[in-house]
Amino acid sequence: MCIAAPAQIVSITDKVATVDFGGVRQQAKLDLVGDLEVGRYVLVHSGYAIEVLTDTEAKESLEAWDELLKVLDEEDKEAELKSSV
Amino acid sequence: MKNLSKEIIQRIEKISRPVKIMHVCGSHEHTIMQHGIRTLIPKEVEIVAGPGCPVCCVPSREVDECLYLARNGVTIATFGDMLRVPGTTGSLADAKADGADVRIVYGVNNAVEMAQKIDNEIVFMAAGFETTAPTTAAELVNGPPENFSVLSSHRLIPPALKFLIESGEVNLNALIEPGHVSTIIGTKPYEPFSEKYGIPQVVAGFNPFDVLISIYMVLKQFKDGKAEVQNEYKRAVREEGNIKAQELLDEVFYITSREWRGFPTIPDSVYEVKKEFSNFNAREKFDIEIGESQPLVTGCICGPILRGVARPEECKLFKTECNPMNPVGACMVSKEGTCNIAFRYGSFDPSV
Ligand code: SF4
Ligand code: SF4
Repeated sequence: MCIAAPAQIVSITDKVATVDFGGVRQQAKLDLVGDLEVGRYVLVHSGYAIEVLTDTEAKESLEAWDELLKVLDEEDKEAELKSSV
Repeated sequence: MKNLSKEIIQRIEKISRPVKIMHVCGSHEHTIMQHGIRTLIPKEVEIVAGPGCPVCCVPSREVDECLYLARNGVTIATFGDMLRVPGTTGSLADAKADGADVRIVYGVNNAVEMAQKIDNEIVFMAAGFETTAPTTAAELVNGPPENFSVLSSHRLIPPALKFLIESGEVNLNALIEPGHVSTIIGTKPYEPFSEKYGIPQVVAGFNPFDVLISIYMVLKQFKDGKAEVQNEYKRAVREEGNIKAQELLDEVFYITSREWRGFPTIPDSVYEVKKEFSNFNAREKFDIEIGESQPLVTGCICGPILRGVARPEECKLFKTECNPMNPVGACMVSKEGTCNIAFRYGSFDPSV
């Protein structure tokens, strides 16, 4: 029910943004995120923007997950180093 | 795409151990079933679904309150999934068929717009977890029309988790926390579960990679001897959450103890409208008279399913008498209900 999806703001009138979900347009109220500029990405749930996203965050790129795995691997390596000292 | 999941699964296999991980989110259950994640990882890593759908968790009593209003001439506006959730004497869909004015909205803002256009009293049946509750709060703060009020069924996830952990019924070892609830509340409210009960937790997004990596992160905490709250869904969840939304919640709601479907009273688990806004609280505005509520339909095991101790396949009515066209229990009604998802994806076999 409270599924939320990223969308880009294309225009704003009176704290209500028109947002674009890759072609599908909808209104999203901005009360929960404050003032924003056109072009920014937001996470939209049930007619409201509930969080502001950066461009890369909104695009859910594969690199992000790769990056996360790398960070986890680094931790492993550090732990190994420590235990071998 | 495929390679990344293979890579993560290999990592999971490497540090696999017998563990029961609970998630509490219909969207996670959806991702898990759609991609057959339970069949992709070692059997000893058990993923159980908890009370993850805010529609399923609404107890009969609160449906009964709405039914009373609907049958007494009040217009009810609510999310589509709420309509067929059973109360003691039928559902809102039944009331509608009998002539009551029950309307489907996509958000509380639609209900407010409706109130501006009609003269009749209109009550928004406000289901939803912390993700949705701020939208209701924002509308009340903005001053809706006089003929508008809300019947709050907004619920909080951390108190339900605390209840599940302390009851010991499920024996869960780790938690995957719901991404969009966490967008609002942040990661702090989960910390006591790690500190007090030694439970590793990961806040997760809804893509299959998110879920797989989160399972890996949980296992890695066990391997490293850690128990903490980690955030896999950094792209949408800040540690402190959405402060503005939290302030609105504080302004409009107080927290009270109430039952959930399948649960007894869970302490401090429901948002109720504060006195300052009682003009917009349907429970204050109307004298709602309901009798004893009947919690579940005979034969339906939604209760144990919502507590994470049973799967839909164990219900005698599953797929026979109970199906999405003709739902017997709440978990089959909502598209995020565990039974509904199991019905739609149950036969998924990733090897085909
Ligand atoms: S996104 Fe929120 S409302 Fe939707 S299933 Fe997950 S926790 Fe429940
Ligand atoms: S299959 Fe239907 S009757 Fe059985 S537990 Fe699920 S919702 Fe209830």
